[in-house]
Amino acid sequence: MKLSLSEEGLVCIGGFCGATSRYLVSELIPSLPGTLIVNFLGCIAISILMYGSIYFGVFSRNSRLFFGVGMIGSFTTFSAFAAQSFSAGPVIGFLNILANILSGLLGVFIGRVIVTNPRGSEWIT
Amino acid sequence: MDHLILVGLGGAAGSLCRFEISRIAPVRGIPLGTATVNILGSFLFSLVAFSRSPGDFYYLLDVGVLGGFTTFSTFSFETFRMFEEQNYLAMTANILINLMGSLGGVFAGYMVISTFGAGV
Repeated sequence: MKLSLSEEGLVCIGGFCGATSRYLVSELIPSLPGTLIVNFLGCIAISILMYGSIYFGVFSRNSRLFFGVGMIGSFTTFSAFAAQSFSAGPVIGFLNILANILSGLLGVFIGRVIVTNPRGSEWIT
Repeated sequence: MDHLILVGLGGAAGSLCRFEISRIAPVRGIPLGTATVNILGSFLFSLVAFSRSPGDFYYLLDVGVLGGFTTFSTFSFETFRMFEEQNYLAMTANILINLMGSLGGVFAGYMVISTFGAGV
C-alpha cells in the first residue's frame, strides 16, 4: 500500500512553511529590504527547481508542487512588494521596484548557472 | 493567536488558491494566472493594510493569505524564460502588466478604504 499526500495537501503544507519563513525573515529584517531578500532568495530557489526539472528531470512533480508552488511561491510575495513600493513615495518606490525586478531576474539567472554548470547535476542530486 | 500560526494557516490557504487558479489559467503567451493572483492579491492586500488597526487580521490575511497567494518567484522565472526565448515584447508586457496592475490594485484598495473606511 502506498500512502501519499494529495497535490492540494503538498501545496498547503509547503505554503505554510513558506509563509512562516517569510514572516520570520521580516521579523529580522523588516520592511522593504526584507521583502527584497525573500524575493531574491526565492527566485534562486525556484530557478534551481525548474531548470533542474527542465534540463535533468531530477525533481518530481510532487517536489515541484511542495517546494515550488507551495514553499517558494508562498515565501516570495508580490502584494507586500507592491504595497510597500506604493507607500514609500516616488523615489524610494521606483528604486524598490527596480531593485526587486532586477534582483529577481538575477536570482533566476544565478539558479540557472548553478544548474547548468558542468557539475550542476551532481550538486542538485 | 500567535502570529506565526496565523501567518502559516493563511499562507497554506493562499497557496492553495493560487494553485487552483494556475490550473485553470491558460499556459500560452503571457502567463495570466500569475498576473491574476498578483493583481487581485495586491488589491485585497491594500484593503487590509490601509484599514485602521487591522491587528490579527493583518497577519492572517495580508502576511499569510495574500502573501502566499501572490508570488514573485514564478513571475520572475516566467519573465526570465521569455528573455531566454528572445520574446522581448512578451517579457516587457508581462513586467508591465504585473507591475502596473498590482500598483493600480494597491491604489484602488487605498481609495476604497479612504472613501468608505471608518475613522480614516
